[in-house]
Amino acid sequence: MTDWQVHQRHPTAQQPGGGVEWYASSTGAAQYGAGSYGYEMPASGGGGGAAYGSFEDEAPLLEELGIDIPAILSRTRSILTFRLAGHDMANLDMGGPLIFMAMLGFAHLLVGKMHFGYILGWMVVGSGLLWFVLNSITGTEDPDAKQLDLYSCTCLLGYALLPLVGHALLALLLPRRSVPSMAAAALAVVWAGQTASRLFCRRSPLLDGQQSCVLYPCLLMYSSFALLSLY
Amino acid sequence: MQPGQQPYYNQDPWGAQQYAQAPQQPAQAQGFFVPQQPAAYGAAAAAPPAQQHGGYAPGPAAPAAYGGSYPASQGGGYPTSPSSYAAAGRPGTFVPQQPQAPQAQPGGGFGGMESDFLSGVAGNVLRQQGQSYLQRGQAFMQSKMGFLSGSALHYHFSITPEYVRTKLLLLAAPFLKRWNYARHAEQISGGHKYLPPRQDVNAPDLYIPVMALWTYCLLLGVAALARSGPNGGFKPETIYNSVSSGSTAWLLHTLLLKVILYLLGIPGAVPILELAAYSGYAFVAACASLAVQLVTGSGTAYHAVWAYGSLCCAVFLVRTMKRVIFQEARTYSIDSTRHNYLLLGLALFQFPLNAWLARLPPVPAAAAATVKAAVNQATEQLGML
Repeated sequence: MTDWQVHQRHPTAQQPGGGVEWYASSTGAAQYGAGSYGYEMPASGGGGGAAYGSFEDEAPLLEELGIDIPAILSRTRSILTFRLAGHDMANLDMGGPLIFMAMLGFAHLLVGKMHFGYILGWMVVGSGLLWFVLNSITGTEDPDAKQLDLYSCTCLLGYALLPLVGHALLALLLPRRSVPSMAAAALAVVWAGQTASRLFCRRSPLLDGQQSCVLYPCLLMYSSFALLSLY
Repeated sequence: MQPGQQPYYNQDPWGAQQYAQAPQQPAQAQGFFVPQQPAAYGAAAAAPPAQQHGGYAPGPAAPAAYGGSYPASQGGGYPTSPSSYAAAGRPGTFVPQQPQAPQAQPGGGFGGMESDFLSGVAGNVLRQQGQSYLQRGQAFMQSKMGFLSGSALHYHFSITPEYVRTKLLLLAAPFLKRWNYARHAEQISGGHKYLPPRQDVNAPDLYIPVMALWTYCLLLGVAALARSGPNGGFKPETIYNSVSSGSTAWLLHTLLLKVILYLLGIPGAVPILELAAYSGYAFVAACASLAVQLVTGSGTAYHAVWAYGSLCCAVFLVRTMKRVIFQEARTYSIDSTRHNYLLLGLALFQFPLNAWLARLPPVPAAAAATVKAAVNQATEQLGML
């Protein structure tokens, strides 16, 4: 069977030997159809992609990855300007949070702290905890509750992390563990927590009237990130 | 295979057709290699790349045909051995395939992807097995995910902000006359059911204990941050240590309550989640003690808050347990001196528990002075604003 794979890649080599294996598995001849039919590749169309479509026909990398930079920027702008009711925040993606977390990590790296693992790990744990708490508060049988699935929670919390990224960059300029940097941290935490809880309440009508119950866990989660920035 | 397309293979998995027909069309074979035969899967896979290189595998290799052409193509000169290729050709299916070949191209990208990884018969078997495992796993997860909605966890988390505020007041000020710790019950078929926290302030919830534990861990981190020097210094590991020690303390406290119930002979009176809720309220007092210690250091204020917090916890737990015991005492008989001593022991236990939870390493004198100075400076600045 491995010879198959080899021969798919190197068709010009050792054909006679390979041929013997080609009909070794005789069952389900129908299934060959799918595979070999699919292999009638556009060999024309030039470029280097011999087996997977031509090079020029491929989508650009960012599009393939699903990272839409203009949308991320518009969401960033709406978070920074408190315009959370817009349609920007309706569908979230993970690209923005990943970029923010990378920026936070780089800000820490500039003072010699290698925190990428901590940031990613704490984000995962924090959003898992928050997802658990929110879904336990609202229950999951209501159809509106599907707005609060784990992916949306993580994306939302990641987007609301933006003020903390700002604080991390600001803390590069202030002396460590001084009163101004701690005050800025408190401010950033409150800003991020308010943004996150408002976004959550907007996303799910089941959380109406529960904003302070949602706000407190968000504050706790972002405080841990602030602790990472401050020490 | 794309939907809507005819299966290209004929009903002839072994390529017996070729034996019925004379080998021919070498020119066709050279120019356009489109392998159809099931048995020639490997050749089919090899064909497109071969096409580009100008050489091609002696493709749809039926066993006999291939065997026949083996010696001829030994030298590797397959482009130059039309006879072997013709022998391997499959005229019956070859011709109809040519018009369909361009259609394959748009879908070819995707088809090619999967055929590279799980290809052929065994690949399909594997793929189907994998899908069935996945479906079974999903069904399993669906059945387990009910813990978020219909179950006890959801009951304990169905709170409102008013409930949280009232409960915190209950925990902080037990001397107010307005508290009775009786849970409201409603009659349903087969017994009674207690109202959820939304509707009854005496119902235990899990939201406050979880938040209190989380706050406790963060406060320990803040304490470590505020204290520099050999004993202090925040590292991310501080959070991990505080989470594990806090969770263990909560667990042990719950087990203590369970043991008390066992000793009284009423082990099943209270579900374990409710016992966890009752014991988790002790973290609220621990957070208060920690906060005071952060601001003023371990002086008189801390001791006062510690004593008061432990007293409140003790009062709350004793009154709650008493309600539970009296509820059960209607059906069982419970030794009254024994339960008095056990409750006294529980109440006294809250004091060392609170002290242990709120312990911070002693601050060296210079660092304590700087912390105090920083706090004073902060209050001055806030006062000036």
